[in-house]
Amino acid sequence: MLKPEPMTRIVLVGSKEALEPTVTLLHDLRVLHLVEYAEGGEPGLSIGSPLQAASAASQKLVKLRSLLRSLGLEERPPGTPVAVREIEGKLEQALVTLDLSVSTRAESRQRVIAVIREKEALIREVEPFVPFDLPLEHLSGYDSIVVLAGTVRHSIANELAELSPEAEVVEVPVSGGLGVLVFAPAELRPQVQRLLGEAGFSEYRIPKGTGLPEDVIGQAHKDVESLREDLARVDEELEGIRRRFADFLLASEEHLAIDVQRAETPLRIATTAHAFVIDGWVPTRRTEELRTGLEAAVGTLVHFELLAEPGKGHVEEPEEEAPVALHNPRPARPFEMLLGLFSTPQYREIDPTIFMFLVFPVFFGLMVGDLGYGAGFIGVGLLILWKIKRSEGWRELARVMILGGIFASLFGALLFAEAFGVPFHPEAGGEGGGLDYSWESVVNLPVHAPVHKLSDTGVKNLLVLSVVAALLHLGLGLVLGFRNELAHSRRHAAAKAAWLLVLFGLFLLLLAIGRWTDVGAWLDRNVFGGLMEPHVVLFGRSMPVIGLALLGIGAVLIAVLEGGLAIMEILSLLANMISYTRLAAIGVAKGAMALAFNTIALPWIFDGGNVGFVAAGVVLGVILHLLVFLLGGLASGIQAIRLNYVEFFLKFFRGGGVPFTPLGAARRYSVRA
Amino acid sequence: MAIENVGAGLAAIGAGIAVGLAGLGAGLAEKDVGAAAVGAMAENEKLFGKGLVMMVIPETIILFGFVIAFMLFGAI
Repeated sequence: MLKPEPMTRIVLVGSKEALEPTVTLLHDLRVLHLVEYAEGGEPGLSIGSPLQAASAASQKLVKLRSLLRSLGLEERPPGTPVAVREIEGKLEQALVTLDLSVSTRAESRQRVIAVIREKEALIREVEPFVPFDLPLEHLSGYDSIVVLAGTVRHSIANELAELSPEAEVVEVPVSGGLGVLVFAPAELRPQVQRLLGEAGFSEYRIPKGTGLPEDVIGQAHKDVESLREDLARVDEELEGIRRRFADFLLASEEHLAIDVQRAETPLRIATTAHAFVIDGWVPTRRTEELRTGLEAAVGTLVHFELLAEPGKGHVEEPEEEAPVALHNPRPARPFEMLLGLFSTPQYREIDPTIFMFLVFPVFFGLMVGDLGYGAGFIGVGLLILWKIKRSEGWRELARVMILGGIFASLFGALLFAEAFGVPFHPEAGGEGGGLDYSWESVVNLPVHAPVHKLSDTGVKNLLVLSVVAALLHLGLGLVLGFRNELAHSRRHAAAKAAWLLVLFGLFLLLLAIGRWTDVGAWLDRNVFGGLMEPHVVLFGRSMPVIGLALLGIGAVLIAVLEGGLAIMEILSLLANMISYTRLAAIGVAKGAMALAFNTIALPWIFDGGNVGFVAAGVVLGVILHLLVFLLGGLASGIQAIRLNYVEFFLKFFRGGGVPFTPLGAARRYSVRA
Repeated sequence: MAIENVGAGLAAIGAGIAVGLAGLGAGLAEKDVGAAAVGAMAENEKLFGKGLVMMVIPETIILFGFVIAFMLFGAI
């Protein structure tokens, strides 16, 4: 839970006849993380050559993938798994028949689409000529006449007549001007063009064709109709093929891809003329399983040797990092994915997943802090788990949402006593921002809020609570850092301890400032009482001497252990602590938004008068609360994660580990049977 | 917190300016670092952690403004 899965380095040496069964066994067990052999590493060893299955499988795979692409099947979620035996039996035949039918249909489909586009372009070209009502073949092909068509802003008939009495012009009104068709003697072309240009001429291309424009367009529309029918038919046939063969094709592709990967494994290991050496890591708890499997598969042809587990006894190459397979109880698994987004931990350091699992929901709950919204998150999470069965990513998100929602409801019910921004009981004396409505009129819940989010004292209490959270969280981070460093450098571990002193000293100073709030006063009396008393007045505030002393001692130790420049980091630690006040800030901000929306919507519902008002109020209220729900959830989630990733991890986390990627692959579409 | 004289009012404004401008400065700093971090991430997913951490390094600037604002508040 706190450390990744223990790994053991193993070496397999055997004769080349045993290579294929060994590789197959390793792929089926999915247990070995291969240490790749780089060509030229050792004299006498070289990388192997692919197993025989490789080239035939690769060829089939290429054909299969192009089939999948033309059918558009690439990103489908898995259906019913197909047995491997069935795949191997039917694949050859299926490939041949499908290849032919799909490729011919796909080609004809492309052709039909191209012709449709041509026809549509023709229609667009001919359309402007409909008003002129002249057959298209009369508009081109002349030697001594130039024909120009387009739009002008105003009539040019008179000017044209002046320019050339033989010229003819047809003018029709179109939207925004006049459509003109000009026939003029060819030698007058430049003058005519200039004349037209002065009138704002915008030219049409003259299409080729015969017959009246209307007829041409009519014919083209009919052609497009029948072409579309053809297209629909081809699409239907392809859909039929898709439905019948989708599962089989996807399963075959997966099986072949795994086969090809397996066959290419020898390229990654060291071989000689007659032997091979496989070097890799295996989870310690599965080494026996591997040993017995090998004995069953290849007997004595392969020698299996365990090198010592890192950290116990002599390790051959200490710089070689063991791969990391995170190993946490089931509820914490979604947080492994969140951790992976940031970085995989190194093998030797503490795995922070379980701490994220404990802390993230609390921070999220504190920031959302509302019984209604918390219930909403639980509801949405359950809905996703019920409806989305196949995407693991969504399901993990749903689990995180449910956890967060539980804490949000808890804090909403017990700490802030409100649901959907409406408090359980009307606050006395203007506390809580002054919403006149409360849940008391509907159901009297016997919980009174210790903290009112929106009152003056409430905000200050929340701020102090945030700083306490900072102390605890950052303190935990520094303790984890201490544990991590203890193994290799006493000096860095002592530095972490010094940072703890600084952290505590800063906290006492901040507490001295927050002492007049309820929470601060409580802490002062019950937890830190003795420590605050001897005080000194600095900058107009009384600061506990012990806090300053801790700060001073810590600073000196840090300067000694980490170098003088590290003292600047004390300010950044202070910044990190203050950064936790975002817990209070977001909580209050979302509370204020809910209050504002309630102040708008609730009077419509309860004091509205007629049904219309009430209905409008309900709709408005629902939309606005949905907005707060989404924004609040998003903001709280991101900020809670950010506090973990940045402030917490900065205190101890190194990252940059190698994730455990065993040979072999999980089968989603096919099943080995 | 009743403000009784002009001096106190000016101190309050000063506190506001201190935090406001500090926030603006930190925002400008983080803007560029953030853009570079996202660009680097687009090329190499593994840089997310380092990029995120570097993006929030300028937050210390806000702290300086906060401290000044705080000391001014003490003078009200």
